[in-house]
Amino acid sequence: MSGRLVVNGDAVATATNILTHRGLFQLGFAMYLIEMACQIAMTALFYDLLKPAGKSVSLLAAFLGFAGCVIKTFSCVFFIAPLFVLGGARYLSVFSAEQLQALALLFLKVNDHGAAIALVFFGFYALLTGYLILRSTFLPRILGVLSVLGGLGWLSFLYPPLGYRLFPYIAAFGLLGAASLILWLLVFGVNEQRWKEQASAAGERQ
Amino acid sequence: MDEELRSPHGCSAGDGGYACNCNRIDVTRIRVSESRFRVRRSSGSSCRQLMKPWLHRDPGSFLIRRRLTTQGLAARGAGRHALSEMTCLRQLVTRALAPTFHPTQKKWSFRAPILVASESLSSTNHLALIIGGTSMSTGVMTQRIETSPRLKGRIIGAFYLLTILTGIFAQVS
Repeated sequence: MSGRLVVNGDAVATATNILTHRGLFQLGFAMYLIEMACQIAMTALFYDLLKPAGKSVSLLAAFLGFAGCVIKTFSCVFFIAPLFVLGGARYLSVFSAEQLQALALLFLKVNDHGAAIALVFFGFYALLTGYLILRSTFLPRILGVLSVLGGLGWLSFLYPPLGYRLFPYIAAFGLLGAASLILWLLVFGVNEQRWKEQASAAGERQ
Repeated sequence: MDEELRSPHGCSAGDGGYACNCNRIDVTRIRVSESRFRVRRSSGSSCRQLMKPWLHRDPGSFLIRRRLTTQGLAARGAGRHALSEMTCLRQLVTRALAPTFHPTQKKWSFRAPILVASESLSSTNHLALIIGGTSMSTGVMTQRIETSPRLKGRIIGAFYLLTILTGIFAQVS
């Protein structure tokens, strides 16, 4: 939604788009929230699944993943804020229309930057997850390699200008890794016997 | 003495049978072969009674009840599974298989076993004897589903797919 409605550097066009497609904009907000809910569930389940490969690392990865989710969810507040700013409430009459439009665009920018910060945490998460998949015996190593490389890509947002510049390539590579992992998990799941063996071995070590 | 101890169970170490005194249940699938779990003449009546439903089944795969030991549960909590539980069961077997036999009453003083086994205990379908019977419940079934890593992997895949799709939808469309 944001890709269509937000016109970079043009507050007036952005405000007009948002007000014209208010429903679409709200749907975009709902999608962000559903995305985060799914990611939280996925992170929690991944922690449990990858625990046999390294309990502490898996826990650390889960915390990093949750931190990313919290940051991104919080930044979503700035995504919905333009609707309030442009809503035409009486108390906003102290601002001029141009100021309100600029404010709306600013909020959308803050949302973008919040998402970029979250991507760094997701990068660390993907890195650790990839490491755990590499260490595991119940998932193919290539999935771990792809996850590690994807995570390194997201880490480019440590320096946002670099991250934004490389975004199309990083996103494409990240999607490739994610698609492979999704496909594998949906079709094959994990090797149950090996998972149990590794879980048992991890239990013996503790 | 060994023979006397084994006979009420119809199961010995050679049969791959184990007994344990425990307080939790798990549901699991087993394969029962005809040769195993033949109750011998010297079995206690309650033992025979409890084992009867299983004895009359055709060989095949059944869903059965298995009690988990406290140690077994601890092992599961710690991420250990089949092997650890099996070890726990084996450790407890020694204790559980040492009931007092009262020659005057010609009775054994332990609770009668029910036939149970688990594929998670061994891929070769070793069988386990558990002391005491319990009922199957939704909670038990849920626990079994929750612990299946394959199912968990698939759920993760579904959530991951939803995450990506909603993310793309929100960002691009």
